[in-house]
Amino acid sequence: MTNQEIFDGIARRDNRTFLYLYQEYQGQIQRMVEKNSGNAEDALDIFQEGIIALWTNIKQGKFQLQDNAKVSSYLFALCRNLWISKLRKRKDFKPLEESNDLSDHEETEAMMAQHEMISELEKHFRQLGESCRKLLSLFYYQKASLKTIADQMAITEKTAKNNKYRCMQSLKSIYQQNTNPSS
Amino acid sequence: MNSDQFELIERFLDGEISRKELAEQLSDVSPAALEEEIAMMKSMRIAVEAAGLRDQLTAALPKAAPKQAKVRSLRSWRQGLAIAASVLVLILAYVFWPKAETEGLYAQYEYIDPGVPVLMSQSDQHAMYDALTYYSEEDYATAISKLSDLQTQGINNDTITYYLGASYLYQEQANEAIGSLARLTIEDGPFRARAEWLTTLAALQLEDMDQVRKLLPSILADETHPFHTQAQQLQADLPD
Repeated sequence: MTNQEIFDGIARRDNRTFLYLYQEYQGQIQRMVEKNSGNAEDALDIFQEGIIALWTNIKQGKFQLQDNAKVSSYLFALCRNLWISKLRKRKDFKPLEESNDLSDHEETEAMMAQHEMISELEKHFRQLGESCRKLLSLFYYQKASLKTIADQMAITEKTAKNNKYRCMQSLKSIYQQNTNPSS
Repeated sequence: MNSDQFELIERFLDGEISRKELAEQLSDVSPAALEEEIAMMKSMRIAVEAAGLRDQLTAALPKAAPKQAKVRSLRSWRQGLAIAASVLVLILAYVFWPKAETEGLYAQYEYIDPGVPVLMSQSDQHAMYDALTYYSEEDYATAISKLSDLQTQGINNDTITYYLGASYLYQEQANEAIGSLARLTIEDGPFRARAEWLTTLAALQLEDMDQVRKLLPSILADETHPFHTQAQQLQADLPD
């Protein structure tokens, strides 16, 4: 697959692209993780996490395709940084080699902080009630219209719209309570 | 933030109104507070989508890392790799090759998996069995919708993955079938043999005979494979 095909495939969440990346690069990522206090299971988690981080960066416009930017190299660098970040949280952390292949330290730190925030929000999203999870997932992940959602959930379109607002407010509130317990 | 303000920010994030229009309509909100709300909402939208993507990846990618697969027999490892490689090539080939009629050999070899017995008493898995009821009744479109919904909700297992792949095949969505079945053809498990055969049938549905030839050897190499006889006949029927 070309760089452009990989980029486009990730942006549209295409399984064929994910399988291609898995076949081509999972081994390399696994070697990096295993060399640095991890195992095959950790490597699989990090690969999945790396794909999500890469997709997020593409979606937010933080990673754009340039002549010298290889998507696979960027994915490897992301996985490496995610693994470093995970290791830091362990007591037996031993630093990896300095180079991380991403453009600069501050940018990397900001990216990791953003990824942690998204992961935290994702965790709280999964704690919402089933109807909220279903509605938000249909709307934001499956890009279903409010009419389709209303039909699927046997509610009116107006209720679907109101519930979407209510569920998003719940998510925000749970996140804020957990990040700023005093607020 | 009230629901009207929420909807305005949604419209801004969807590119329906400009930042200037948003600021004008929310003039009672301070610029700093507005920036904070926009950033928060953007992150929440991405988080919901990321949750769906994580479930999608869990369903699509092999559960075992490549190195773990080495504990299986050498022949099994080689077969898995060959099938995985063939599936990938098949997928890529499909992108470039025009889709032809789905008749001919596919119709001759079509295998309809009857599905699992639906025991409604297993209430803990009620939603899955509800979806499989549609599959058993050959309402594959509804089965796809219901099984995909389960995956979206983070409920997933090999049964869901397999019957989703099978439903796609019977709905003549061979490409989606291949994507869904790919993991099952790599890992040892109760669905592996059937997933291998359905993947071969998906290649037949695409009339991609080169890929069928690449997928058949792993089935032919195993005399105990439940589709060994069909694979032998199919190989004999393949055009030169």
